[in-house]
Amino acid sequence: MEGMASLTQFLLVGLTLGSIYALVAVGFVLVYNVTGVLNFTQGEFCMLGAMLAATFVRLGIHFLPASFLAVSIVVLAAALLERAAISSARKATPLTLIFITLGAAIVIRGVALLFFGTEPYTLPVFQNLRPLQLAGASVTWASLSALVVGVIVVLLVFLLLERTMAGKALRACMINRLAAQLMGISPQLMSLLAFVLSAAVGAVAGIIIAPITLAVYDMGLMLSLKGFIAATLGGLASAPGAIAGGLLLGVLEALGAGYIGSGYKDVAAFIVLLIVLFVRPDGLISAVRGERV
Amino acid sequence: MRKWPLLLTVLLVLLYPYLLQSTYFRTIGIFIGIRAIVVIGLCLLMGYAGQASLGQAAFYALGAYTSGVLTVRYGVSPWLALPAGIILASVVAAAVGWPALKLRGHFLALATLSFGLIVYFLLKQWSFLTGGPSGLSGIPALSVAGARLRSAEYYYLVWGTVALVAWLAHNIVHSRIGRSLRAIHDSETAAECLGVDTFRLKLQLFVLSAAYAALAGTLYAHFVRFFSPAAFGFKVSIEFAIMAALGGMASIYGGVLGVATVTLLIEVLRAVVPLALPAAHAVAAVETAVFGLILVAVFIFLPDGLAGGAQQLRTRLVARRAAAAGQTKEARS
Amino acid sequence: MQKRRRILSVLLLSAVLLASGCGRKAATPPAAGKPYEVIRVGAIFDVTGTGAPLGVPAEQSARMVVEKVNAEGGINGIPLEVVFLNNESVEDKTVLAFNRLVDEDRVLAVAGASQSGTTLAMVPAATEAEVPLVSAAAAVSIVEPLPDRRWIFKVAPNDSHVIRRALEHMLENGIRRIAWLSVNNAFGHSGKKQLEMLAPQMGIEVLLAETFEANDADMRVQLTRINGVKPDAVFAWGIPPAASIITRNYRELGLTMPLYHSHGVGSRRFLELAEGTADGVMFAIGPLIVAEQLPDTHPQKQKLLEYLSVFESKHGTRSTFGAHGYDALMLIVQALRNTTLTGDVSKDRALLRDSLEQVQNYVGIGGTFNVSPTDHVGLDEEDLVMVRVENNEWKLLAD
Repeated sequence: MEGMASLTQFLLVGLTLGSIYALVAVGFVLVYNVTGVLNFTQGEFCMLGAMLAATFVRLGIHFLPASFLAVSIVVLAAALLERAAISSARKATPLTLIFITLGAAIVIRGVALLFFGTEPYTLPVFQNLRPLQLAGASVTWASLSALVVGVIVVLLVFLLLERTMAGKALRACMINRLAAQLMGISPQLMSLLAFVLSAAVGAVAGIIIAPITLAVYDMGLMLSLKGFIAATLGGLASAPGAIAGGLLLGVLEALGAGYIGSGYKDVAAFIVLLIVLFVRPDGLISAVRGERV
Repeated sequence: MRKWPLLLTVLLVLLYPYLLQSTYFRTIGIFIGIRAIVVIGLCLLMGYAGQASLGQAAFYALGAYTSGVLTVRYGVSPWLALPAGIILASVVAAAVGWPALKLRGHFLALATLSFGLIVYFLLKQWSFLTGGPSGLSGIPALSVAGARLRSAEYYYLVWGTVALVAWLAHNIVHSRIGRSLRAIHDSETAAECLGVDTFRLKLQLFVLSAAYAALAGTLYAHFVRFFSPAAFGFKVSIEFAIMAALGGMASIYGGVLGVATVTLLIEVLRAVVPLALPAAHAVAAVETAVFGLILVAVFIFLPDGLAGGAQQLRTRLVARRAAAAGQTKEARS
Repeated sequence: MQKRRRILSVLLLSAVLLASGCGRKAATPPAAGKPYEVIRVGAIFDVTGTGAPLGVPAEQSARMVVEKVNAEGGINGIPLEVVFLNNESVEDKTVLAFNRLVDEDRVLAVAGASQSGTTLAMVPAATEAEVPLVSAAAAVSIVEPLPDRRWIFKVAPNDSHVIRRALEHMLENGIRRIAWLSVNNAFGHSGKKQLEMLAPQMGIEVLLAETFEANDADMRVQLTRINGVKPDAVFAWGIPPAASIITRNYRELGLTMPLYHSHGVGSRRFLELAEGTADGVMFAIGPLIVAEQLPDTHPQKQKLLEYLSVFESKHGTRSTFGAHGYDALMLIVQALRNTTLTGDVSKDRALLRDSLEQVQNYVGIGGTFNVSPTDHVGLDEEDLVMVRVENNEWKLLAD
């Protein structure tokens, strides 16, 4: 019985961590498929969203308008970044573009340090609610909301891609950039759209994880790293793949910590990751679907 | 005409410790040299074989820790520990590279990144051997015939190694292997069709770049004489990759240039920014942001890195000179 | 191509030269009877990066020392100048910063760094250059083994003192079997080693030792494992935000046994980030954070209140790590006051080292320092107090 409760607890923690990674990974996949760029500023978008929302709440603004404001600012920053750094380097190779995003991530971190300082921030949202009890394990409202908001965000992105004209154009770009261009879809515009969309997802992710992990100016790099791993694990091809990759990574870490011991939890997670890579060299999901060539 | 700039560079490197007689400047020179050895290996791998590695700090760590552990825990001479580290890193690289190099593009980057993280966490975990997160101290300094190497001598040891490593890399690039390598970089399938055993070549380069990193790690270990796993985290791997890309990956000298630029730029910013700003975190913030901006600007305007940019400039200058010569000829006729 | 490269490197090199030249004051001959125009000391703190929660208050407090000393007429009439550098919590950068202070700024001593790892990175360089180094970090290995640490001092209490004090408190309250949870970095590792040594000596059994990474987001897995072995109490060893997350997760899981922390939680931030879950948390720490509650007879009380009034008016809320930055620089100042300087930098560094070993009964922020050739810390566990969080405030526990 006790073992069962522990397992439930480990899985719940794993899913909480996993939904964080999944949201970062979704942003990765969106930009990657439209522009071919692995965008390492994705984690910084989360950081900015979290820090801005926390700052606004601290200034006395209510949580919802504060979040809205934070997401808007991050979206603007992303648009600026896309125009200034990515768009003007059209001719650069994908590898160079990755380094541009790595450099841009450093710039964002510097600016964040200037405005927010080095102190960690908190985003008090659910502090007065008692955690729920579930099969002998406890779930906090913060992690529950991370899961729920994560699902909602992914659904929204899905609807946007499936049901709107802009979304269809984006999807066309994701499937075949050249053909899309021939059909009169501007790749420049789509690249901007992908960045803006992924920044919005990133900022929302940052805001919903801040009550769980707290927010600090240099959290972005770690999130980018985990998001990249999750996205690649999921095949880098689709949002569902990214989510599966994220959840898998989170659960792996939690189970590793739970059953092998916390000292080896990261070692265990990365060894499993390597084995997965070597066995399924194109990532888990695309190997199942066999979509990418 | 083509030779003397190189000669002047060599002269500058040779005279540097005496132009600036201070341990501080020599330390900068030594750090540039040590990192350059890693980055030259990375340039071979990334620029010539087209294989991205985000785990180079792990091999750097293997070199440093093999040397550190053997000398501190077992009293082995540093000169014997040096080849031990290189051999260990090469063996590990072959074992990891065998399955990893079958992966393409971003999956290889992910595999090397994961490998780097595994090594990093193991270094923290195996504290009975490595000293764990507290680090390893008491590493002996290098000495030759009983005389300890001081900063100037260490500088020459490091840069002598850089020269050796660069010469070896240069020979590889300008051999038959080098031509095959460039073929892999351009199109692996085409290269394979032409009968190039691409996998074997890639693996050889991967092992070589690991050996370079381990060699640099050993030199690092006996210079700083204390380190902890923090010096080999994945941030360090990314920094190596940035240095290689900044200098221009398809050039061995570009790698050295990239390392020198990044290292010096950071020191210049650290010296200049505090003059304008009082608050410590603001100083760090501005340093970080300016450093990032410069990186982004270089990559936007010189997509082939500094070496590529220099090459372009030279071509343009030559063209202009030729055009000018043509014009004078026309005017004369 | 190579020519451009050469020009570029020459340009860069001259830029470095220029930059370092700008930072350096022109050497003016000192006035008659004084060995120096200004006494220059260096300070390196971990102001950004992972060590920032420690480095920031330490640096702010050290700057207060400079103002205070100069307002009081300097050191034996000579103004004090401190060159502050930030190592960004990176070991390589610490080594470079240290060499810059020693060679370019010609400082007489260096204060810092805030973390054990970054401090240890400077130890070989300081020993070789024969420059006194006074660290603000805690690990015992900074000052031991003593024969190799002639030039190294530190002002933060040893981890062993903090742990022994907390274990004593556990024994008094009938706690015999504990679980340990520490951050997987130099701070946590050093604490763990001390615990493994002290606990058996004092008759306390450690049932389980778990770790977490400094930037981990959730510690419920470790706490679930800990709950599985049913300890009498849990001893956590880390700094915020991780320490706050542990405390929140502890309450979320409904754990009820006593929760002890390290002195790493001695900042307001810990309480803010824990969002009201910290009540009941206990820890051993220097007396700074509960200065107002000390009895008036406490030798440090006046000094602490004085420090706090300045620090809190400038930088907001107090942090125990500010004390270490303050003490590190103040110990150097104290020793400088007792040194007859000659004007020869390397000779004066050696004289200053000798004076540092003789600082006696100096009332600092972290305690009363009695340094000697056999003790380069000068503090003992008598300088620590036990504190419990009540209603989100620190409460001094009676001995």
